[in-house]
Amino acid sequence: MDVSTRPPSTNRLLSRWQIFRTSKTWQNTLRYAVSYFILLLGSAFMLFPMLWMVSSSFKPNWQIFTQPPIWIPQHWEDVRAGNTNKVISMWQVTVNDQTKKVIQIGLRRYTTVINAALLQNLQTAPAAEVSAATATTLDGQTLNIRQWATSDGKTLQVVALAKGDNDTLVVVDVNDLKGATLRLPLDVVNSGTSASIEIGETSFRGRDLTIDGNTIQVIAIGPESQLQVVGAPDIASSTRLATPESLADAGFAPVGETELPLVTIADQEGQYVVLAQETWQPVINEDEFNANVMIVPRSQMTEPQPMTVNGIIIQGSTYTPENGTPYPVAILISGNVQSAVIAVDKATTLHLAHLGGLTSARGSQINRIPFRVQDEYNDGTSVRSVALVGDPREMAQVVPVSAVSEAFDVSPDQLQRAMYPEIRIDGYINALQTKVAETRFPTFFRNSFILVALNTIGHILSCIVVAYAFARLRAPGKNFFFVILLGTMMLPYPVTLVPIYEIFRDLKMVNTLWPLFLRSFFGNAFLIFMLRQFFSTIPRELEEAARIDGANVVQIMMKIIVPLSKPAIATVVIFTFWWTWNSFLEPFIFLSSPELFPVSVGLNFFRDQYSNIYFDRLIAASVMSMAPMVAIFFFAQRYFIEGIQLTGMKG
Amino acid sequence: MSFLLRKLNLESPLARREALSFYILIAPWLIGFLVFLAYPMLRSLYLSFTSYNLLSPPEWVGLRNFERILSDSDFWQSLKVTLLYALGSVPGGTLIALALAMVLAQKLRGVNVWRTIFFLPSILSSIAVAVLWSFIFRPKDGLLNMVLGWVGIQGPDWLLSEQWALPAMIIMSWWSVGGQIVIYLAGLKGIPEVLYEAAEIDGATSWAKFRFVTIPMLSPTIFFNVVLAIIGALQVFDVGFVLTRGGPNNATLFYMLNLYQRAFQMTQMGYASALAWILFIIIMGITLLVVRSSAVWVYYESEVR
Repeated sequence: MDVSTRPPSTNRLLSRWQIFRTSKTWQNTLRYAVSYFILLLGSAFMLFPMLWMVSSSFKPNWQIFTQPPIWIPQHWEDVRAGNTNKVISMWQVTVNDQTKKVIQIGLRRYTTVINAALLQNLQTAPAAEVSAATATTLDGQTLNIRQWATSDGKTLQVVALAKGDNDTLVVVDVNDLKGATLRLPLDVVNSGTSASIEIGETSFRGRDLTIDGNTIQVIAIGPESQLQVVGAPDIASSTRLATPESLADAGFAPVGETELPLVTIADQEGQYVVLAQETWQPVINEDEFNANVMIVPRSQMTEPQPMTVNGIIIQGSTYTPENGTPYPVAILISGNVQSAVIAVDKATTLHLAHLGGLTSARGSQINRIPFRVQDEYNDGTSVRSVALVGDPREMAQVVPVSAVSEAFDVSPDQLQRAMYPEIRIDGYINALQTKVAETRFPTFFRNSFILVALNTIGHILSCIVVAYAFARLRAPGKNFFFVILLGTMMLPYPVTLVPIYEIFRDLKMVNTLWPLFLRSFFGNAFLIFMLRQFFSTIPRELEEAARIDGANVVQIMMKIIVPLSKPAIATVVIFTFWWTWNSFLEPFIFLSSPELFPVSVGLNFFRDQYSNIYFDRLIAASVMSMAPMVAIFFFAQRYFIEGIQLTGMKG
Repeated sequence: MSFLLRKLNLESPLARREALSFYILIAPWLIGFLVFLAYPMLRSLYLSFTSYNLLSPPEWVGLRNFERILSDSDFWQSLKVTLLYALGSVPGGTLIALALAMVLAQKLRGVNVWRTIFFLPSILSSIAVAVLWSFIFRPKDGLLNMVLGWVGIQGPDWLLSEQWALPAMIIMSWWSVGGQIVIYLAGLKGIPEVLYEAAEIDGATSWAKFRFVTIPMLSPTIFFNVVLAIIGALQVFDVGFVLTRGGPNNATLFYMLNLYQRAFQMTQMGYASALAWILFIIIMGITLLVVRSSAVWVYYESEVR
């Protein structure tokens, strides 16, 4: 368009726009904004899956697919109960914008009651006109509220108190209940004495309760709900064990901001809170057991009877050695003819271990009496071997009330498990040990490395000589063969797949590694082409001197060309590694014995077997299968890039 | 004889020795070419006209394999799936690779780090990548649907859905364009600075420089890579085999998957060879088409316009 035909003002505006549009500042800003936006999108797409995978390989199975996601591998936080091997789960709760770590110390069930003295305006409603109850919170009171569609067209919110005569319900309007309801712990309500309460013509089953010194009559109307009583984690260090028989009920008492059922322990002062009742096992350290255990005939022992050793009740007896004085022994394993015993004063390490904290059982024998040894995890780091002694028993874990700090109620859905980041390599260890088609991952790695080595040798031996011939020697037909060489680089492999299978079958090489490396000894078009390009850049003059000295072609190659071509040969090695490591279809077709599988085929089998069970193992196995490739990539990225550029850029 | 020697420049004994060495040195490749390429190609051409189950000798059936193939719905389905896959993965991958290479070609900080990040996925084994993406594509708790959920999109069932399984695999193929990025990056660096300076003097904007300098100068590289990518996409096997076995309902039945099933699960080697040759012809045809079209959009420096 001819600019001069436009009115002058438009021209001025346009030229200003032109100046702005072509100004360096504007263009650079735009360019950088667009660039970084594309980079951000690109790296999110490329990097995000990778990071997720690496992170997930260090997670336990359950953390891999969670809602909301757990990005960094976590470990549940625990606290140890006293000096024992028991771990207590630590939880996290947010109260008044403050996040606290707590442990659970009990449950409380709550219900809504009506103060009978304040109950008024009872009505009788036909059951058909009243809807089902839903728990609703009104003015801070939780009630089982029903909708009553009365016959005169009104809808009332009511609470049903009892069944009346002739299919009716005795109800009361929620507005009449204001101020008459209380939310009380169920155990408090149940501790009141039962009473029959008469209001009007209806009698209700209620209870007499004493609250703040006043006795009132209440009717429990529900709904019931459950709250978790939690306390500060330092409670855990004061826990001790008590036999259930020694506990006596001591009623409810205020603890912190809540109330808990308390107990007393026989022969002990003070009141206690019961945290749990679980199975504990008497054990003795394996060293002490091995050093001091005695096998004695039953005839030299008195009848077994309970005795207390280190505060633990186990079977004991008095043993009379030949020509010696009798002394008390603890029976570790009792047999019909003889028993394994230990002198009471030598059983210094006898203690109770939480059954859940014992693992990896091993059997052992002393004089054909079998006993079991397990590992006791005492504090996350130290592990000791212990011999199991006597029968496991139920023990109560209690804490003195005086040690309980900060006890309060929370709704269970407010509690979240306390966690801290932790890298776990269990996935890797398990993946290496998991059976895949009757074999294991290390075998697949071995096979892949064998194939890589053989293919590398084959390619180096064959490609260098062929490439040298194409680069240096003159012969009729050379160009013809070079064009064929280039042509084969683009040939689709499916065309030759079936006959090649046939050839190796005829050679009796199916289900051996031969088909997967033999052909590399006959060169590879791409690698030959790449080496030829590289050799062509080496000055001919270097060879002339050697040729005049009478060196033959092979000597020239070994002495002059190969030493100068280390980068190109490195590229050959790396590309061979790459292709061999990642090839899937050929090994899959040629191999049927799992012990010959390379990593790619092994991983495929692993996925088939475990893709829905062991996410952690499968992801760890994938990461491991990538690891050698990635390691080589980081060390030799230059050769990758040079080789790729050579294939991709038409010369 | 002497005429032939003169014609071939082999008159001197030295030249004859050199020619002999040449053929001795290329012998490994030549033997390999004849045994593992030329013979198999002819053999598979022959087999494609036979009925052959590997156990009894091939039986000549003429064109029957091809007739059966053309009336086989699996063949047409696999062809459709494969062409759609190529149609999605090649242009999409090329665009992504070009965009990222273009960005990296500018003088940004840490080009090597970015290049490493983008290149890394492309060196990984297809099986491990398939395992990873099978998790990413999980409908309920997979990474992709979670990210889509952040922007308020309810993601599909991906690999479990007939409609979305193929697009999922196309997306997966874009993840491995690192090799192309590297090539384009090298191509971009090879464009002489002089051309940009000349354009700048003429008052060209960034867009104009991109449109009239970068694209023409890069077009041979793009062309070559598009050809390679098409050939690669038409022969894809691992992804479909590992992730879906061709399902759901043959929605990802790639051509090679169909061929593999015919050859190694049903041992119909003749039929499979015919399939292979059809694929070969299709690949050659498409390649030829792209090469023909290249006259329009590929610019060679030596060309006189």
